[in-house]
Amino acid sequence: MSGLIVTLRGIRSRFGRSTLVVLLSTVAIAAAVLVPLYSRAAAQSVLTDTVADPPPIVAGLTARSTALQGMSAAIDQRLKSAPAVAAVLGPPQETIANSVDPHSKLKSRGRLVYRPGSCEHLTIVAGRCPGDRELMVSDRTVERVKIQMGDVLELESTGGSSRSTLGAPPPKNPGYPVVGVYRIGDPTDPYWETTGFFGGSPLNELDDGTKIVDELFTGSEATVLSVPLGRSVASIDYPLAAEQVRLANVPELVRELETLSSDTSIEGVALNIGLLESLRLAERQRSAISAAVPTVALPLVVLCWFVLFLVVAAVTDDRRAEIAVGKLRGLSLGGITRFAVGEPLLLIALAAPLGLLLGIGLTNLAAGAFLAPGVDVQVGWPALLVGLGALFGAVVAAVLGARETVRASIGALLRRVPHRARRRALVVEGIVAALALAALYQLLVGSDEQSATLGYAAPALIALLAGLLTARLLGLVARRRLPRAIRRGKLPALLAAAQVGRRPESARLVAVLTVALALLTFSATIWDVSSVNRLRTANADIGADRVYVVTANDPGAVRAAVDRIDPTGRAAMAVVRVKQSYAGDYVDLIGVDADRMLAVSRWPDKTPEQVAAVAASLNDASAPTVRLKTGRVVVRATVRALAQQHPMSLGMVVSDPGGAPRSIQLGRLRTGAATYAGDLTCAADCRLLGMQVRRYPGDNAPGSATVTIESLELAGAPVDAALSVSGAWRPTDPQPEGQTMAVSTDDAGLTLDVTSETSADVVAQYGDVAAAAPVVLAGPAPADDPDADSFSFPLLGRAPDPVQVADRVKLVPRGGGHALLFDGPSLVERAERSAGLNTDQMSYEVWATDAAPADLGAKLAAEGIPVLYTERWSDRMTQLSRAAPALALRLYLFAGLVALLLALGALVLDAGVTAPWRRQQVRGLRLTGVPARALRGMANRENLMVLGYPVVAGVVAGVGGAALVLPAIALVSIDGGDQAYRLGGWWLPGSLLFLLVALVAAGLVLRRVRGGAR
Amino acid sequence: MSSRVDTLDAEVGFVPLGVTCRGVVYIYRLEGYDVVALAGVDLDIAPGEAVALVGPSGAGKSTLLSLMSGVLRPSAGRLHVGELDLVRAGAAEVQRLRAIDVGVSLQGSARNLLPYLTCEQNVRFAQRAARGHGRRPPDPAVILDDVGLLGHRRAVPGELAPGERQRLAFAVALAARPGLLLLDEPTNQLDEHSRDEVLEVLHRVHTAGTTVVVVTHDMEVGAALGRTVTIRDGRVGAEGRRGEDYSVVGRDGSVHLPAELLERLPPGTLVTITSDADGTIRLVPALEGGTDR
Repeated sequence: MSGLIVTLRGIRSRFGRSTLVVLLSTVAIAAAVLVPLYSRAAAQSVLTDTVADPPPIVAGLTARSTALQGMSAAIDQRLKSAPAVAAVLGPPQETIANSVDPHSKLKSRGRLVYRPGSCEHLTIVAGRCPGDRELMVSDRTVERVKIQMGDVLELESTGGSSRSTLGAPPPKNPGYPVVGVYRIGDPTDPYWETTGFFGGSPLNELDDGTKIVDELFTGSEATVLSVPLGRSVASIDYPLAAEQVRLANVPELVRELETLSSDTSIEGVALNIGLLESLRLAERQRSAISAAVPTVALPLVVLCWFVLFLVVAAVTDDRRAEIAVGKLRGLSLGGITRFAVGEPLLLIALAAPLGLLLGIGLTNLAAGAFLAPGVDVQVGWPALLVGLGALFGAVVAAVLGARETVRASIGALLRRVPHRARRRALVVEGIVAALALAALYQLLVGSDEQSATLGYAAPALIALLAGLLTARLLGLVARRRLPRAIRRGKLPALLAAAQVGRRPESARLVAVLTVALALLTFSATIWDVSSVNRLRTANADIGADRVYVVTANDPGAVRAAVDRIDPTGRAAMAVVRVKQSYAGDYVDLIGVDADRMLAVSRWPDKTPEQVAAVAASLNDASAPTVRLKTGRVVVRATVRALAQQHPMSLGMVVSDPGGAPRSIQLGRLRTGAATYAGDLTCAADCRLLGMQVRRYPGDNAPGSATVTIESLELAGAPVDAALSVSGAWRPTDPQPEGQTMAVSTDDAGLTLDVTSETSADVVAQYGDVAAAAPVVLAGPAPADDPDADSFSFPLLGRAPDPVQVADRVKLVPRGGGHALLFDGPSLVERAERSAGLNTDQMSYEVWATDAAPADLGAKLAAEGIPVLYTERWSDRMTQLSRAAPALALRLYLFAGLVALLLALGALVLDAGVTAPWRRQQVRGLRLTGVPARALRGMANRENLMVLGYPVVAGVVAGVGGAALVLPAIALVSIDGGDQAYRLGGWWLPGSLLFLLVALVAAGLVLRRVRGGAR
Repeated sequence: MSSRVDTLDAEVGFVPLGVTCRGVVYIYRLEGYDVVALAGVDLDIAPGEAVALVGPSGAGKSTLLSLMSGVLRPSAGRLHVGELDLVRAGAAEVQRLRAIDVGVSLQGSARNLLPYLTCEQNVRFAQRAARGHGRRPPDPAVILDDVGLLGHRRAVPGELAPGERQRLAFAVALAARPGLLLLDEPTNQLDEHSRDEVLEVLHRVHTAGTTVVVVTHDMEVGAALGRTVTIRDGRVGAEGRRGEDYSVVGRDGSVHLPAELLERLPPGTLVTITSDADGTIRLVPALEGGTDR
């Protein structure tokens, strides 16, 4: 009979226990295998995402020269020495262009372009695709410079005359017929990416009136080169095929790219390679994942092995009578070891392929769920080696687990003497404690570099230390309680304390449970905080569910379009943006619509109630806006105390939409009551901005007057300008030097008490906006004092606006950490009051919720607001959840979950192993007269101690460890950045709930397994 | 024992072993205190002899058996099993002893068996170590036939009756055809019929030349074996041979009094010991104020 039969029969006789050993070993090996597999897949994912982030042409290879001919062959020759680079490049796209001034009815300038395949990416509205020495122009060009089909355009090289040789006869410019008219298709078509084509918008013209027209396409390179004295620019773009960039090829790619980069010029061809930068960035992300792996893998694998050690120790201990039989029959130490360890080793061997398959399966699932599309799990030698390593570790753990029982004497085996902790255990605990303290020290006071080493292992070491200390504490408490229970005669407490105190297995279980719970709560806490930060970052980066970046001429046009599309104000919001430079940095100025902000925007750190409060604080409306139309303005006013050297007059300040303020002359001031009048012309609705006492031009002599404006009429109709309303009118702030103005209102009307020693007009502003614009500020104030709450800064206008900080935040939606957010419409009106809108620097967006129509882009285009591109909050969240920190942190979650499963498995196994002798013990106690109630009390107290201590210690160690480690962990971006350390998700409460359910389930299993113990 | 076993004896290297105990002391060292289990046992068991160790519970019978099997090591004294000095023997020598020369059956048959193996597999398992030492133990079928279990060779212990299980424990102990068979309470908790079956097997084993030492409370088992050694208070107190009971003089000259005499001479009694010319030795209790002659 072979030993295998004995082993197999033993396994069969303990089927349930053997199955559990297989399961635990499978999980342990799967966990060990998953870590490198997942890390590699995650690294591939960030690599794919990183290289695919820039446009393929930017990330690929671009060659520049003066002619296409020969360039392609030279590059191909060059790429032969860089096969890895050649393998990741797509088919080349050739382009040659020459700047020309076509001779037509109107002066124009454009580029003569030969680009194979261009006709397939344009809509030809008339004629056909051009061939050699033929031209195709855009429909816009036809309209702007009056070119027609069939016209022969003479093409002169731009600036060619300056390059002609002195004294040489002027070259003859070629003329080519227009054989086709195209319309620009989709400007965001990747085919046109980075070309910079199609700049022939109606507004694009040079100062001398030369109109910049869209590209003139032709059918051959020779046509482009035929323009004399031209400076043609030929380029070949090799777009990057991002999906071809594999992790395994990266070292070779980097080497080849560095070689290519060190000599980017070949016979007049300039090479530009964007991939190297992407690969370097991807390498940093990969390093971030790799750095996190040992932090997760080490405690997880050690825990797996320790649980396996416990399991084998428990199973072997349960077989002590069998081992005694073997010894009694004279088996040698080797024979006994084989007999004792054979079963677990066979089970572990069986679990190895299962674990490997499970690891691969789980990684595939994770790849499908979390990683970039197309990333597959590559099972290479590293994973197999790790699997073998895990198997070897499991074997060692099994041998060590069986060691104590195998080495015990027959007498000890037959008597069932409890094991005692030895001095060696104390030494191990001391080492763990020292390492944990060192790690904590590095984490709290060490440099960044130091924190990255031992500091990263701090959570695991803290968990381990917590486990060991809790186990010790439990033993201590049990031993202390025993005499107390004896003194007090409390039988259940006595029995429970005795049970826990004398079984070293209880202490080991408590250690494992504590470590597992610490890892679980640690990972849940970290993931919870990182989830909050991803949400926060996505809100700060995007600002709404969807953001349409649009083109428009002024903020009002976008706002009007949005008002028409979404009259409810709950689904979309027009936003105007300016990127303003200040002190060597940029400040993002974001003009939202305060009325729609709450419904549409996503704020990083604010609840809806807080956003509502912010929106309310941004609204600076005071008196109602007074709209004026074309007509005769009549003002009734009484002038007193008039003192002047040259005549002063009364004026009214108005503005056109988006325009600078202008003044209407109403007549010279006359003492006493009088009527003043003037003509107002408005293209659209004008706005009343103020009334003014106008000084005679150049008159700096002192002058003063008290003017009471009693009424205002436009085209015979009274205008309600709140002349009697307190606070509706105010002097300009700051008031120009040499002027004073007191503004008061009463039933008689608006009284302006003016003195002036300058020639500047004295203005009383109509207060339809607050004195200072309320803003939300993120980062330092763009002022001399970065902490200033009020300062002046040009927001949407050409002149600085007085600004009052209504709220300071860390991040502004879609503005990040250095931005000013304000109510756009108010600031537009404010700009109209000062020097007009700074439309040159404005860009426009429409923010929308998911409730907005799916075809909002088309609707905006139909309203004359074409969409350049769309950004989505969900895309950004996906992107963030696929960044290196998130991918690394998922490993933490996995480790926590596996740890809990292992610990619960160990718990159930221990219960199963100890069930028979517990039953015997309980029967014995019952025979001696111990009531069943006392035995139930004993079991409950024991369970409470064995489960309760680890729960408390594990949660404290896990959450505490997370609190210590969080500042050292990149949660969203590998560059760190502004991170919020707060819980906000459901991960920690969810994991605690899961833990509760798991413990209740474990308790029920214990109750069932130990059924006879009750 | 069957003739088949006899023919195999030369092949398996069967040699009956004797046991010699001289002043054997064993002390159980427990937490905080020591318990003297054996306090100087002198005992000689000749090769091929059958001996029953009897005495009250806790007297040290099982401890003595454990010492003979090498499970425990004497705290003091000398103990030889065959030629092997168990006080000085190394672990390998003791293993070899248990593998080849000594078969042990512990109290409670289940403690000697692997419950998941069949009868035949249990015997084979017990032969593994002997094979490892180059011996060719008998076919398990022969052993099972000798204990009357050949018909149950494919049964697992749980399927056997208590007496059968005990006989299987014998078979396992006899698996390597040892020269010394040590049995701890082999008839404990057996009914009369089963006990007789066990005794019959014992008889056959003894007849085949095996030295048999049995710890028992059952005086009938003792009587069946011919020689009984009474262990009392960790010493050999008396011996019974062929129906006669004898006290044994210890190495220090002490003699255990029979129980009926102990009532008349309670502990602490002063006695005068005199020897008559015919060899009779008298124990005369001292009277108050002098000796009673």
